[in-house]
Amino acid sequence: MFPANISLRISVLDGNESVRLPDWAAALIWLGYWCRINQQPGKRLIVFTVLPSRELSAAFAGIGCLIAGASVFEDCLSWTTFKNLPLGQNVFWINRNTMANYCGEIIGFKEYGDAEFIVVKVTKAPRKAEVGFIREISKSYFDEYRFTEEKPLSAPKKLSFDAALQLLKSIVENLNPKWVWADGAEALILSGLSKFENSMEGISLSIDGNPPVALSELLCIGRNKEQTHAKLRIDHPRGVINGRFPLAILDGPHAFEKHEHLHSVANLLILLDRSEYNHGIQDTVLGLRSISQDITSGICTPLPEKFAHGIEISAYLIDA
Amino acid sequence: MSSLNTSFSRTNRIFENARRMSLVRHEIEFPLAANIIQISSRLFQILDRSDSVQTEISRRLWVLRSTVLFTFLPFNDSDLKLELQMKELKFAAESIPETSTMIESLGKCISEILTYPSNPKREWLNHHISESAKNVLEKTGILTALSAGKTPGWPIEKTTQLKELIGSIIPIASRKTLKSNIFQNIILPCACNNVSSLLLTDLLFSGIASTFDILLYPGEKFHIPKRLMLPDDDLFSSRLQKSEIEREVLMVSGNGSAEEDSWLNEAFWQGLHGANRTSSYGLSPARYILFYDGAGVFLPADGRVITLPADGNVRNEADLDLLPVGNISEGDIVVLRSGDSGSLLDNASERIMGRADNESLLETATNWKEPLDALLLTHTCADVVKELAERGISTRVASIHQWVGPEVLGPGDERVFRELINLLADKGKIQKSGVDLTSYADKCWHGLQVIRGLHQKAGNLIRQDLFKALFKKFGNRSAPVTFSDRDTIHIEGDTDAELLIMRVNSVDTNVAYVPQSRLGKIDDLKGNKWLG
Repeated sequence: MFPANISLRISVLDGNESVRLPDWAAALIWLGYWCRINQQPGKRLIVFTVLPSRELSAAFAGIGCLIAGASVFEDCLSWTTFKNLPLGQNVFWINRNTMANYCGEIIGFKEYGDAEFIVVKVTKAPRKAEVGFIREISKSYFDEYRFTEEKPLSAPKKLSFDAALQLLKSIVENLNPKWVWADGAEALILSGLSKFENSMEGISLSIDGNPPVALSELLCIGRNKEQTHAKLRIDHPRGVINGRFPLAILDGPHAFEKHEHLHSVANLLILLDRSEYNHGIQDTVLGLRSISQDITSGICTPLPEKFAHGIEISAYLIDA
Repeated sequence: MSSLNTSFSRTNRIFENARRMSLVRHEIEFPLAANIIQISSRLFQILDRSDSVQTEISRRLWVLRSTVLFTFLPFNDSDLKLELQMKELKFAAESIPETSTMIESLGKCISEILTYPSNPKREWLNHHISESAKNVLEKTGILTALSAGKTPGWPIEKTTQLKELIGSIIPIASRKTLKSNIFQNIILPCACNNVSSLLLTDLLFSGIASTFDILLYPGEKFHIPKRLMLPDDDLFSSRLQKSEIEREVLMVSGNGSAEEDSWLNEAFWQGLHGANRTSSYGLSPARYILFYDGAGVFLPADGRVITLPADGNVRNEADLDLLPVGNISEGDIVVLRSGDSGSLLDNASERIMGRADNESLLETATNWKEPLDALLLTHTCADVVKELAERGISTRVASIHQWVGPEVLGPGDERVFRELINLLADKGKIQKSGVDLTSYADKCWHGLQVIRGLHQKAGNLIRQDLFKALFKKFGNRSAPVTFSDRDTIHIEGDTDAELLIMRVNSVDTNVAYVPQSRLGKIDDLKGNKWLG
């Protein structure tokens, strides 16, 4: 369920000035939420949004994705997930008792009677002597280690994820704290990296009067080309885009050009400003409209009564 | 009021402006201007513009009328040359006797206007400036790019004087100015029927101002241009809110601008490039770019061009942008290769292709184009789109058209590509099936991907080469580069190309269709009458 009254509960600290979350930002948070949460097997939701300005729109839509992802998070069986990883995959783990960080490569799975083991070759360890060791970790000891496919965060980054988690807890009912540390991002943002990062400078958000958290930290964002843990990923709309995501936010016309290359992404949210919406893009929209299925069936979450002035939205549902 | 230094406050203000935006049409009483508008309209109606002499009379008439309507200078300012213009118009029209009465009346109006003590639009502006000086926190802008080429009524000789007149008001000469400013109000000096449609649409709809003051003499009609909007959908359309001016646009049909202005907008570009407006065999879609130095060039409509930051801040290779040709706007600094082809990218790709010993790769990767061409002899592009849709592939007629031609390599999506190959095989245009067909599709797709990689590499290579050459010529990378209207630099190495760096004056917003040989060829338009 999308949190109620976010415009009243979220305030934006812009430099020294604090203001209530504006309607346009609230609308974008809702859109990000809606596009992330509506996942239909075999279907693809494609949403176009044209705005007077798209500056910061991907960031606010990103917050909506995080709220959605945190709301639907279910703790999965890591052992089963791990058993399905391909050989050669790099994995990271932390010994919960000693807090030592390791990196290794999966070289196999073994069964001795009823006992199952992951076999990993250690490639990075606190002590050099451990590098190159083959370790067999049994299912029963699995819980002593926190395994991830993504590189664990550095200490300062971990603090900012903690801060983001605390803030999101106030708006997402029954948020499972494991969500923020679980592998997998809620969305991929395709955007100009420096412009995206610069636009967030000096902006913090506060929810229900809790201490504000910088927008750049709240997004728990990481580069797509890096294996570092992140809840949102960002990439420049150039070259090959890798990764599986429930949603891609295509920020601007350059990013839109990549829409035909995002097979491993379920839904698409395209953000354009008014001067960027052109006949070429409209041709694509009209093409989608001609093959779109009944979007009202299977769509959860009630829609807002009215969107902020100046926001245009068209949504289409097609076979994936 | 919050400061507009941050992206949040700026975006907030833009949305607020979009919500409460208003247009104020200030009708400034001035019977002489109204008479000039009326007489010139009647003259336009009787002139036959298929005749070259009468086309020239129409052009002179438009320039004369626009000088009066657009200018903030006193009408007797010598640089406006109103008397001379009238004299030349009268002389040109002598061969068309049916115009004589009207030309005489027009002459009387011009004589009278020259004795008029002031310019009513100038008086309005002076009054506004003294009022707005009370509120130093808010910016006012004024649109100065009132037509393509040289703007009548804004002589270059008087640039300094006009700048002094408008004082702290920010002149808006390009879409670039819109990106870096937020205004309290923007002044439009006339009905803006000759303003680039892209510039006017951006100006009115991008939320950069909440109030637009439009200065009109009786008879001048301002019409809000229609903006391209997302089509209504089943789910959201009833929940979206339109602003007042968007409701006004919906109520007015057609563009409604004066006949002479509509004619001029097309005649100007035809006078410069004279190209077809409709597609036909052997012609490629292109856009015409006019530069400040009096040169012009056709660039492929779906191509890209390297641009430099207009403020000269070139600090690293990322500042050299590859801009789609359709997005080029007034004030952009573009880089072209001198000679017959303006395209840098093709040249660099060829270098890389040569180096990589991949000359036959293009042939291998695109030899399915011939079967597609053969299919299009018996099927339309729409048929192909339909057949692909039946195979679960969504594509567009324009895409099929592009794939068969040389400009676009082919589908960017592997699934789409494979279904296209399957369709060509099913239609008997590719004589393969089963494993052979799959292997053929694999080979073509792999080739396309390799070439795409090379194109990207070419783009990077050009940026590197250009970046080096720029600093060799302009020196110190910590200071902004000052570009003139036309600069040349040389890229060393195996291209040894001379590059032209030119500032865009105007862009023909309508697509033209030209032979390949005209693409990238730089026209010298100095002396062309349409450039004044």
